[in-house]
Amino acid sequence: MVETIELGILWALLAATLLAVLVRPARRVAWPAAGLLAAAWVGIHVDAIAGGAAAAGVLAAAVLEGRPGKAEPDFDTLVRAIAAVGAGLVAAAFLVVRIVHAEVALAEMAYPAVASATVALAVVVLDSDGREQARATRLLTALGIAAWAWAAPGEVGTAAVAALALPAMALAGRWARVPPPTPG
Amino acid sequence: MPALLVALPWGLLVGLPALATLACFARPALAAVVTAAAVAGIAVALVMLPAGGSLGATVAFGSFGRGALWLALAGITVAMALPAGPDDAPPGVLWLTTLAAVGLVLLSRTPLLVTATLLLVALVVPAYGPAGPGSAWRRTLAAGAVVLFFGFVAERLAVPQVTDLSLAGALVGGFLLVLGMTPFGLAQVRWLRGAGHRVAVVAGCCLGPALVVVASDWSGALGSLHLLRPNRPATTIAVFAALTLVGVALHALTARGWRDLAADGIVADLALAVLAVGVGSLDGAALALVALVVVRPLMLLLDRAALPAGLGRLATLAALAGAAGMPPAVSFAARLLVLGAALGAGDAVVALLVVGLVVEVVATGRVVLRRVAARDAVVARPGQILVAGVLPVLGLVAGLFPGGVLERVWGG
Repeated sequence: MVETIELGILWALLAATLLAVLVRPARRVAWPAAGLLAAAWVGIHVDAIAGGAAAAGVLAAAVLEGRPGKAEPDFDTLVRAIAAVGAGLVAAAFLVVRIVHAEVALAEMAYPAVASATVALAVVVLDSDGREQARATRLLTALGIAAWAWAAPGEVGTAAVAALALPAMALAGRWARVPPPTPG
Repeated sequence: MPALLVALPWGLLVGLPALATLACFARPALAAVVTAAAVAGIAVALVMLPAGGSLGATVAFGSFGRGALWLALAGITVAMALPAGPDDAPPGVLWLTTLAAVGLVLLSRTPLLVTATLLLVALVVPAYGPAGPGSAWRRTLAAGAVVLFFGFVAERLAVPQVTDLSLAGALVGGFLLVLGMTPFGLAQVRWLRGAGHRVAVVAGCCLGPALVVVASDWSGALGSLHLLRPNRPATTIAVFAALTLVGVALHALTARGWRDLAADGIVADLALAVLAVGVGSLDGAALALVALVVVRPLMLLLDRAALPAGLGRLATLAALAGAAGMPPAVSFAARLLVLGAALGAGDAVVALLVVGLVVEVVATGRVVLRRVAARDAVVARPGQILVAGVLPVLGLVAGLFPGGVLERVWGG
């Protein structure tokens, strides 16, 4: 039963990430939702305190990032988003199958989490909008907390300290200059 | 000793940069006062803390890290003394970068916190420079942080399916990305050439040494991998660092003034330090980083501030000697140490290193012979005159007594 819930959370995490990248109006909600799902997985699978800290960090960052300005949709942004999703999904498959050689049972758990991370990384690399890059970076950090909590279960304090980086990123992006979009 | 007294210096070391960051964001006009107070407090904390100290399992630094912390302190002090350009980063961002550097040094053994810090840096710092190279540098940093983290997690989990060769590849690739070594360093060089003087100094002199400390702390993990040739990962890093040195030195031949030369020199000095770590000479790396912090900000100061004639000539001479690696500048001692250590790493590394150093001399001479005048120079204020006087003296003292520097600053 718990395994089924965990599996559901992980695939919902991937779905939220894809939604955040592809559906423009949903971005403000979908990025934090993906982070919260990663935190929920940590809370259920590893440690409730680490999961709670990560969730608090994700929520605080979402509140602190401020109200975004309106951005007009354009063809270039859509192409970049599709490219980021494609590259991220393929890279995750390569990692899980060719590098880690995961068995089927592990792969169906690992793939959505790894794919969320690679898609978020692809957004950081390919997207030209600084605000989207910032949100993707925060999701990467939340996923990092989840991965580390799983890899080093005894280090709850480390995960909690790392969760502080999430609101710090949001505050730094708000107080500091928002990175301007790169032309072309 | 009461626990509070033991924790106090650690609290100062982490808390003061954080407080200074918040204060500078809230009240930029008070940046100079805040910086003076914070730097004094951090210096006291550093004096109180022994090299190799630790607080719990997470917060620790060795002698190499201690030196990097002193350099970060010098970096932020000099950066705040430089004249602020119109496009320069606000003081809050400069302190945030310093805080990140302190965090990287203190938490270098905790991969999650290193990754989170690198991602924070990638988000903020590259925004304060030319947009194109800034975006490229941000990508490089973020990708490097993620690749490194993958390597760290796989190493921690000891997943049997992930071969040690894949692990070594991830860690080496991650370090090359994060440190901006060839073939990923061009964006960083171009960013440094276009960025404001203050943020360039902080990125080079605070963040750079901290990243070298992280690489140095994790070179042990690379050595413990079961590879056919155990030294190969470190040698690979050394080769790429040497290639970076050659590439940046060639790029410096296009320098149009002190600013370009300083930007290229920052990456060249970092490459020399990384090369030294790769060939196992931490002393060489330490002196290369000292040279970086003494010489490159001086060049940026010469680019922006019109100094009094005599002091200007002294500063020019010190910058020239430091950049070209001539005795008695500290960079001469650094290069000598690194070259000696590189002899054991193979002919290719030595050849690349020699070529890089020679081309760097030519590039430096070219800029000086063109009698480059400061562009849009402002009349130097007393703080800048002080910096212009202190840095050459520090460079000279460090060059004459490199052993003393290693012992006092780096606690070696």
